[in-house]
Amino acid sequence: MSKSALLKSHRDQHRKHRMTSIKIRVDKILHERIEQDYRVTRLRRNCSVAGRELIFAEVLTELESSGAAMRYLNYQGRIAWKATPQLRDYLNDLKLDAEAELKDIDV
Amino acid sequence: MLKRSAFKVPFSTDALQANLERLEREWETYQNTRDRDGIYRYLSPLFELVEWWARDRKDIEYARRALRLQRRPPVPKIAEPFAAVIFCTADREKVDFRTRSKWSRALRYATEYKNLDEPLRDFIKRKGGINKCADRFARRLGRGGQSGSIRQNCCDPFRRSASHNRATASSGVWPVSFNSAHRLVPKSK
Repeated sequence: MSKSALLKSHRDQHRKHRMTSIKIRVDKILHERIEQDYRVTRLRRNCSVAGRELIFAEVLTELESSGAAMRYLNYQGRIAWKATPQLRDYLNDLKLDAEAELKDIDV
Repeated sequence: MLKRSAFKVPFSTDALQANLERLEREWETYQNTRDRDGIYRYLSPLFELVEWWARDRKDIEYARRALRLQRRPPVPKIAEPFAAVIFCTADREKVDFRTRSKWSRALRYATEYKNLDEPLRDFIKRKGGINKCADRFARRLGRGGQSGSIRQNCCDPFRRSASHNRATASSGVWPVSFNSAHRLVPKSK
């Protein structure tokens, strides 16, 4: 592929990306979960071809489908993401279990 | 703290199903509670869901998809997204057509007049309760009301939070009015 064609292709990709992309706002709990999933996905794909953003979106889709993430309108009227009550409860249970175990070890 | 990234995430059928199941669980929780304001535990997440659908201008499409996912016939044709989601997630024997319509009207009233940073429960209580909100909707926005164009207003880009309006007012600029009668609606050709 010639240099000019490559440059044109890059420009088209950039234009396409600019047309379809929107900002995704994610709360802290969900962000940590996504980062964790993202690392696992990246390792599985062995230095992925897809960009970070694409994997990020895929992970969000999976989390939403499994009922761990949900969208909502934030105070600015923009669509944002947060952890569902189900995920929050699950994490809370894990935290309580860990605290109980820690207490047992101390005793 | 909010982190940012850039990519559009599609709303799959599985995601829709997961959201409906979440609302069903909220309904069950509401049924098991004796709390006076328990209904808001169900209505608030429902409102949150349909609100972002409306922001994406896909509320009717997603509501139709939700109705299509229902396995238990008969499934009536419900055009209004709030009523459709209530039909899909609440117990049909306990929530009849009238109740569904009343809740739907109250939620549409909230869509129109509630500030984005005010909880639904506080707003509805401030306005006198669900029945009052439903009446207000019928009087002001329903058929034969002062302004009937809720679709154009529910995704209103001028709608801001109360804190934003206070900041605008303190800076000397008149805040944006929430009254739909004063809104700029594009003329239909």
